[in-house]
Order: sequence, then C-alpha cells, then structure tokens
Amino acid sequence: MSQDNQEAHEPSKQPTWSYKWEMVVDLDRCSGCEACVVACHAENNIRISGEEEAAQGRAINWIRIERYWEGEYPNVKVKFLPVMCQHCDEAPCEPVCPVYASYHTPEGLNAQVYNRCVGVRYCGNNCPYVARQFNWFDPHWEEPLAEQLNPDVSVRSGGVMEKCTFCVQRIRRGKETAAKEGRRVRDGDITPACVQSCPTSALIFGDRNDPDSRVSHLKKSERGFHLLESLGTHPSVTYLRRLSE
Amino acid sequence: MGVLLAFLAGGVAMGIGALYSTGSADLPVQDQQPLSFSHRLHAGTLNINCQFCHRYATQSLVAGVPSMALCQTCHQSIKNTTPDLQKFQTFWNQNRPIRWVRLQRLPDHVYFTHEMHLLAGLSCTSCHGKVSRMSHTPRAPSYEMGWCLTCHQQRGASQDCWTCHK
Repeated sequence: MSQDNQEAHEPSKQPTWSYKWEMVVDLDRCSGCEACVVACHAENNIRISGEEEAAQGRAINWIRIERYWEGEYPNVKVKFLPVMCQHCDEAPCEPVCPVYASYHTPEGLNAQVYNRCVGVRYCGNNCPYVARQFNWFDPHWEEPLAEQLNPDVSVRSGGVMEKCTFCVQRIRRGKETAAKEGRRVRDGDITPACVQSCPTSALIFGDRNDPDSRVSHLKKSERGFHLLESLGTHPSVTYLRRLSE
Repeated sequence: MGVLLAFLAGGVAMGIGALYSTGSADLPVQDQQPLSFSHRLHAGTLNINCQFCHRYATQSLVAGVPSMALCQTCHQSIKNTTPDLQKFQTFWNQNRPIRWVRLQRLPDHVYFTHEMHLLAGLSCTSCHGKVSRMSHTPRAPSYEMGWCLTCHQQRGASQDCWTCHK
C-alpha cells in the first residue's frame, strides 16, 4: 500500500500534502477588460480610493492592467499586461522587513501578516513589480457598501502594507475541503477571484507540485517568460507571450 | 504639585494596566446574561452532548448558539417552575429572541474554524474547559497566540502564520 493511501484512511491526522501555488497569465487571451481588478476589490475588501488619492499615487489595487500603445494613429495597437504580486521565490520584499511581517509560506506564497506590520514601507520600495501598496488612511465604505465586506479577509487599517495573496482564504478553504475528504487538492478546486472572473480564461491558477495540473503543463510552454527575469527574483507567475507579435 | 499629579496619573495608568493584563478590565456586569443559563445542569447533570445545542461546530467555523426552537424541543414538555423558566416562556410567547451576551470573540485578523479542530481530534473541553461543572459560564481567560501555538507545536499542526492569520 502506498503512503498516500494510508494517509487517506486517517482523516484525523494532519494532512501532509505539499503544495506550490503558481499562476499562468496567457497574454494572448487578455482583452484588458479589468474584470479581474473589480473581482479582486470585491473579494479582498480593498479600500476605495477615489480620484484624488489615485492622482497622488495612493490608490490600492492588488492587480492592475498595464496598457501599452504601439504604433501611430490610425495604425495603433494596444497591448495589455495584468500585473499582480509575482510571489517570488527569491522575494526582494521579504529580507528587508524588520518585523517579519513579510515572509514566505511553505507553499510558496509571499505573505503579509497585517497585524505584525509596522508600516516602514521598506518592502514596497524594494518590490520591482510595485505590487505592494500602503494604506495611508483608514478604509471607509459608504453605506450600505460596508455590508458587502468579505468576512474571510481582514479589513486593513491605516499604516499597513498590503498586497495580492492569491486569495489565500480560498486556498485555505480548498485545502480544508480536501483534508476532510482525505485527499489532495485537485486541479481547479481553488480559483482566486481574478481567475474566476476572467471571461477569456487568460489567468490559470494551480499547484505546481501536481505534475498534471494545467499550470504545470502551461509553464513548460515555449511562450513562457517571467517579468523582469534578469533580476533573479524567480516569480511564481509565468506569462505566455502573445501569438501575433 | 506637578510631581504629585504625575504620580497620581501614573498610578491610575498602572492600575488600569494591571487590571487589563489580568483580563478583569472586562467587568463581570458586561457578562450578565439575560437568563441564568447553567451549563452544569444541561451538559453536566442532564449530560446533553455539546453538539446537540452547538450544532454547527463539526461543519462550520462557528459552533453556533441554539435557536429558541431548539430549546423548545425539550422545554415544551418542562413545567415553568422557576422564575427563569417563566422568563424563557415569556421570550418564546412574545416571539422575541434571547440576546445572549457573547463571551468569546477573536480579533478580525484571526481565522479560526471549529470544524477543523474537531476533525483533528480535539474535544470541546480542550479549549473551553469543563463547562459541565460551571453553573455560570465565565469569559475564557484568554485565547492568545502563544496559547494556540503551544498546542500547535505539541501536536505537530501547522505553524505557518497564514494558517490562522488572514
């Protein structure tokens, strides 16, 4: 009997599966609709900044769509690039945190522990992807918007750094469901809000330790590349080049 | 005069601090329940299983406070002999819920689920003490991180921050 089967018969034991969460972004599919941005805001209780704060560079978005114009009118082309925290294996934000609020989880996620953060903003300054954002003010939601906050995600107060978590609350829930059934998380069980809302399925999320997951297959694609690869950050997000370049 | 005032202010601050650190800053008055419900009677003498009343504990984050309809399962066939039982009947007759005072509350940045702890083989008493011997349920001393971690270490459970912090 394999070790896996023995574990499956003992649901009371802590599961020992190991995961490595990764994402693939197929740029050929991204239409720049920003549904992911909206879904991320709703899922993760991200504060609404407004025009003025955005102009000051204080708006918070865990995922953003970067827009690149190419060519001259009328032969103009627009290209989109969704950018979120790259959950780097060699994350520049982690060693600089004086209070270990920014750290790496055993499952390859770059985590931020909000109640530990003291707001020195060193991590944000050290992130080459500008994926981390600082709460300059306490969040505020007009009634009745406060009623729609997600109870699975903390509301971050002023003075705290925040960033994409790959929707860790959904990962946690997916792992619990799997643990109850005494099995490993299956491919497709867990979908972060951005992945779920993408109308063209440009975003794919999964477990890299599962050799049959879609993420594992797509990462081998010859179209694959990483953002700012030369920095040696080893991101967990792989981008796939456009086909028509 | 100034020195005296400074000492006085310092003394008051220290007093409040000491009270707060022992958990007595939460006045017992706050924990006064609208009915004198006794866990000793229900869980002890009558030996009712915890999960008969707190029925969501095995399948959800929260254990749940029973609905009055659930209380009525037994109470409809019990004579209202004491003032508290009559009070209960009044609540039921007037279609009013009992506003129980919540005693245990975790901060917003903590993720805790009853379900997974019971699945790991813990019993209710491991964290809540022997309520079957308590006629009046007190506020738990403290559910602090160090206390959680001691158990997580002993049982080889996850010690990753993001297991419990959200």
